[in-house]
Amino acid sequence: MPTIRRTRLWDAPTRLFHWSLVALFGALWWTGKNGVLDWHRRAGYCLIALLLFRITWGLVGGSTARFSRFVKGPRDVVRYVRYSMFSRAETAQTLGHNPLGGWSVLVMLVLLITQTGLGLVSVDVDGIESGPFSYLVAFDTGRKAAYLHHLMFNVLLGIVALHILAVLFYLLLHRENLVWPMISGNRISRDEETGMIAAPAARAAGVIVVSGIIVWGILKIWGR
Amino acid sequence: MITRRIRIVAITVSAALLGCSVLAAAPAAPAMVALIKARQANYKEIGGSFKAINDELKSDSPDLNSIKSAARDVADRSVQTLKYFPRGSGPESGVVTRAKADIWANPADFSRIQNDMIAAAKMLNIAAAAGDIAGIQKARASLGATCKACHDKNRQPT
Repeated sequence: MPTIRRTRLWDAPTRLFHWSLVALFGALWWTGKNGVLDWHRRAGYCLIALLLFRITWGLVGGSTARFSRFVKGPRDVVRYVRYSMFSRAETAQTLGHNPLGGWSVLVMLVLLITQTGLGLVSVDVDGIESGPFSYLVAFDTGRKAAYLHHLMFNVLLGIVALHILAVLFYLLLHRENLVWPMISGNRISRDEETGMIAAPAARAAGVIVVSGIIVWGILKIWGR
Repeated sequence: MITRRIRIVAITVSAALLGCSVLAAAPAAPAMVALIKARQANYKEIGGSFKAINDELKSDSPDLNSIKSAARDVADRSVQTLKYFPRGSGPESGVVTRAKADIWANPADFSRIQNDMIAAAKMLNIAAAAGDIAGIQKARASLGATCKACHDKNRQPT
């Protein structure tokens, strides 16, 4: 009977980020669709703090969370897609995001940053509900931002669908369950693997608190 | 014989379809285009002025002078909306408009909602002229409710 080994894959802050993002995405969707805009704004502020946290964690976090580790050049991406992605025989799994997945993380982050930025200056048609920085732009600009905010949401839904399809793809073709490691942090494998290098928990707590304070402070001082 | 008949039917149908599409794409009357553009511009100005009021109210030290001029603008322009909805200026005009046909289907309903807006804008203007912040807050809420009520009912959502 082969030994089952657990390999550390994602640190707790990265997993917390992932599932908080899922929860906030759902909350923002629901509140946006139903016009509960005071809660939509609050959830949006949380999302901005969360994004700030993730970007910082991409610089100082655990090894698999770092951009320097998973953002690869186009050559690596092409090589991955050509030789590994569709090959069942390929057993060497990447510890963390593969070269293509790394780019999908970046794309999602950029789209979410754009989306929250648009939300900050959006104005509704009645001129009543608006983002905290919409006072800096003209009504027409705020309306255009709201239009793009709406459009971008549909793009994001498409990205989410693609993300889920990719998870299914790895499950079906590679028999690799990507969901469980994102919950537990561990990958189960037969071979001996070197796990991720964790960052101190205190650093994570510090980055979370500071991200929250920065967002709260900016809104408090300059937001309306 | 049969194929020939089919051909004739096909030609007739396509000619009819072509005719319909030409009719549908027929340019709207210039006067109607101008009126609808002016209507939209008027609402945009109302939106802008109302936004200016709300921006001030959200600040810690609202600028009463901005509120005053914006409230006057909203009050004037809300009266102007009365002349902007003649029959034929709905979706059937051929101009891109979000004004729903319901407006002209229930004219009494629409003019009641217009008058609600005018009354609320007047209250806001009076409160603003008096520099009464509590009154402005109250009038702003009821004016906002009239915007929303009409948009929900009579404006095609995006």
